[in-house]
Amino acid sequence: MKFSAVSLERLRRFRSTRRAWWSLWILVVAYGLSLLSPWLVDDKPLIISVQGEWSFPAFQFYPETKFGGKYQTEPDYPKLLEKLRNDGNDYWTVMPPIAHNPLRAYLAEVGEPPYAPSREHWLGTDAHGRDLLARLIHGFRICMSFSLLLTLLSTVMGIAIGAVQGYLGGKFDMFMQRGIEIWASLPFLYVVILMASLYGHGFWLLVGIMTSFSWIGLSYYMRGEFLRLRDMTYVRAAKVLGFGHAHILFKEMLPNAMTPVVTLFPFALIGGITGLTSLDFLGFGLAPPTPSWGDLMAQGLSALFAPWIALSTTVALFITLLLATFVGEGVRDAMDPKSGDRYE
Amino acid sequence: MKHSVMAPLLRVQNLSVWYPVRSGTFSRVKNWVKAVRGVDLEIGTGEIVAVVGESGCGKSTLASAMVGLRDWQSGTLALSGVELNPVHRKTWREVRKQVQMVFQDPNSSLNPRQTLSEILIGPQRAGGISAKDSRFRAIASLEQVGLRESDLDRFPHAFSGGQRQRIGIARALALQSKILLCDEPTSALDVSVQAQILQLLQELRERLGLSILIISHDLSVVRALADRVMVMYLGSVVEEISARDLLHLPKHPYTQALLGSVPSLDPDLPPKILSGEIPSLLSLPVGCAFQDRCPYARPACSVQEPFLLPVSGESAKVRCPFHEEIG
Amino acid sequence: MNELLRVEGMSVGFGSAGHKWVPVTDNISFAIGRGEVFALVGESGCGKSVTAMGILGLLPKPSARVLAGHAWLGDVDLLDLPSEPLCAIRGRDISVIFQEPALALNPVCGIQAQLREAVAHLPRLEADVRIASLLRRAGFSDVPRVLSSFPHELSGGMLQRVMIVMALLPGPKLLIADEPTTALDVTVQAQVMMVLKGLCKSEGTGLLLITHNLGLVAQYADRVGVMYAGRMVECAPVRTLLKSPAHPYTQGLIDAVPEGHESVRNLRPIPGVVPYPRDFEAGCRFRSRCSKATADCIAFPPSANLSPLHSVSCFHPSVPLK
Repeated sequence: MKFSAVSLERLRRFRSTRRAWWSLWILVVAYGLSLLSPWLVDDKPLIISVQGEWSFPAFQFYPETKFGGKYQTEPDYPKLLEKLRNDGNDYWTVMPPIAHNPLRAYLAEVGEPPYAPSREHWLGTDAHGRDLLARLIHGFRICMSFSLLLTLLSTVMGIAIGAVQGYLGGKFDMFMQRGIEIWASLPFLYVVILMASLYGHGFWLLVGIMTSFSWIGLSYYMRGEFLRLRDMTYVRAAKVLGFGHAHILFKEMLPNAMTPVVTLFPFALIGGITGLTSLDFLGFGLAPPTPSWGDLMAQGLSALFAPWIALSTTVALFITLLLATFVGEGVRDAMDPKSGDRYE
Repeated sequence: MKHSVMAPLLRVQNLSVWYPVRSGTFSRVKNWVKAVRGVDLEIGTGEIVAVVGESGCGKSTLASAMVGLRDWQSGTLALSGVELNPVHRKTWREVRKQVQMVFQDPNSSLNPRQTLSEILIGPQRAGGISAKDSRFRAIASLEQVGLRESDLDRFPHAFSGGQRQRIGIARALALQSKILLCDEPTSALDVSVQAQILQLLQELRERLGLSILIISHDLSVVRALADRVMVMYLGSVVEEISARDLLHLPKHPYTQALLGSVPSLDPDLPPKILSGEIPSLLSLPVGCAFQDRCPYARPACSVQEPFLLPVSGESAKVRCPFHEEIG
Repeated sequence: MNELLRVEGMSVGFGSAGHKWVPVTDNISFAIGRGEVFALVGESGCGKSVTAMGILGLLPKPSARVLAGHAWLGDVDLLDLPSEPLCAIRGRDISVIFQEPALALNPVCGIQAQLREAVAHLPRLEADVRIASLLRRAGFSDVPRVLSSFPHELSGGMLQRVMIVMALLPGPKLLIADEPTTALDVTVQAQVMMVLKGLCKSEGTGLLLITHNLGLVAQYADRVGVMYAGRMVECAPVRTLLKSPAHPYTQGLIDAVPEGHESVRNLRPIPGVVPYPRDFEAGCRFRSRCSKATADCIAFPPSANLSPLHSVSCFHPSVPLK
């Protein structure tokens, strides 16, 4: 595919906005790294060598029997390592950089969780004694994945429905629009509570419910774009040239209607992040003990005597949203450069 | 004007296009705008026919209807003598193989996101022509309009207005259509470029035997290019005349007025001013549509709309029963 | 000649901070007398509208600016005026009419209110008398009906005549009409141009007519300046210009008009295309399209006065230099 000069110019303008370009890179790298968190942020050793025999527990399943246990189930590695150490075995391990499982409660002998930051737990632990850093990183992965998925799905839906409405127009458009208005007036939170109480707090269920509401905004834009493009001469020309509806919709009109899609994408992503976080905060989001920022915020609020919980979560959320906003701003300015011209 | 026993390449008979005027909660049709009223049109092979008129005369609606962009109220369409049913999709597939359109504004009639090769080859591929053949034809048609093969990879905005209009013509040529329907092909262009496009059209007619229908508001363009001119006013043809006679022997008062109001390059030939403005299509007067502005109007003009009748001894047709007295 | 506006060596450039300014017009000079119709004619991108907007101080800021020159209205240099006094001059001493009358009028205000606004400095009664008299002279027979209408109730030709009346109400010295009839039908164009020229003559207002249509120029202008690629290539009284054009571009424009030709075969189009400002060449900018071009044309073309009123900027003008 060859990009038209318009697209190349937009890309150039986006790249020339240094702040947005760097924000995008930071976000992409951070998300890329967080995708590795099941291996890099866990308490399973990357490599363990017992009596010269190498195993890779982070990547592979080994039964407990392999390390001298009784059961065919996976060993509890922290306990196993402790046992190996106490037994004076000849072994060595390579642990992940952050060797804490986000779901494991590390209960110390003295005091009750939450524990303050220490050499063991860099950011401290949450109210259940789980490592905060591990939960933040895993929470970031889940939150970003959720938000990306949600935004992609609702973008596709918004484009499809808006495009068909704008392209066909007339009665179909009229009835669809009234239908959308009725649907949009359903109270979102009630639907979430209702569905969650019936089917539980699943990841996919939540994606489904939130998608079914969040496509509406984009569909308005797309409908407008397609209504405008429908009367463009090159669309009429395509009809005369004998192209079918599918070609006209996807090849002639869609590439020219992508401005709102691209412009709104970063902001929809932000919406997804805050949406999931607030649902989790309220307790209607992903089922515990899934690591989630909203859950940590709620804990931080109820445990104000342990400020490290609220502080680190808020800072993480703030930075993420700020970076995404910078990207969004950059995209918006690249798509529609306000020349700043005035007439006096 | 050519007369042959053979059926004309394209014949449109008694074509009417009405637009509904809707209002109210349930968008009920309150009235009809009769944009085109009973137009007959024939184009022979290698003939250039022009439809001239001012805004609201229905010339553009007529063109869109002829390529299936508008629904018709009534009328028939025949290609090479075979009558086609405008309701059927198959009809339009057949029409589009033979009739292609060149649009007014070359800036908006080419998709800004497609390269020339997509613009020229895409429509052929959709018509079932092989990739190799369609590329070959695209190059051939580019050369016909004075562009090069190397231009295939460029986007429309890399070209000037006149070149874009050439691309629009090449797109129609690549489909090997026999009839070119040009809707104001030069009115968006500069004067110096306009003449280039007009000469290109003339050349294509001579070289390829193309038939061309020109829709225009500019009598001077039409007179220099067309063989036969149809003058439209408020949805119907008021005069059909050979281009040669148009300048010296216009019959209908409207044609005369239209000719007279074009500002001449000669400062000593002041334009004749026609009073009044074009009435709304929603409130057409009873009788002749031109009566309110006609300097020769008489009581009989407001009784019944005159018919388009042949002028005795000439090939022209005129919709004015008093044209002989007007002189 | 009773001189009204004298433009001297005006150049306008487009660009932005940090980039080089690309001049789109170069050293434009002309003068308009009281009650005179001066036409600037040329193709798209020749800089005719930019020149007019530059005189009015209506260039988009900061992407365009006047690089050099003067525009004397009396003893005031319009190009050197801060925006406030210039704003006072616009509307009082200079008025403008644009191409699309429907866009220039406020759709939610009645015609009468909008016309009264143009003469707000006069007492109401006096203003209404002047409005009615100008409207009648603009060819409206039913003045009260026009005054009580809204813009959408009038046709394009009527709206443009209302615009002319509105522009002339304050009694300006100069009226700038930028393609005033391009959006109108040909039968209506003649009415509007007659009103425009008639009113300007009777009010003693100078008219700067910007158009691409040579026919309009021939019929309604007194003197013409032909522009090409940002330069004034020829300036002459209209009859002189049309009967004995000196610049090859003027000749080319006249030859490209299909009027009076039996067949397009007789037309002589100018080959090539109008260059963009960033592609302007040194020397004569028309030379790559010109049939008379020689090696000399690489240098800046000399300006020659063929007669006191006829100047041309060319190495090879058609009329021999005296």
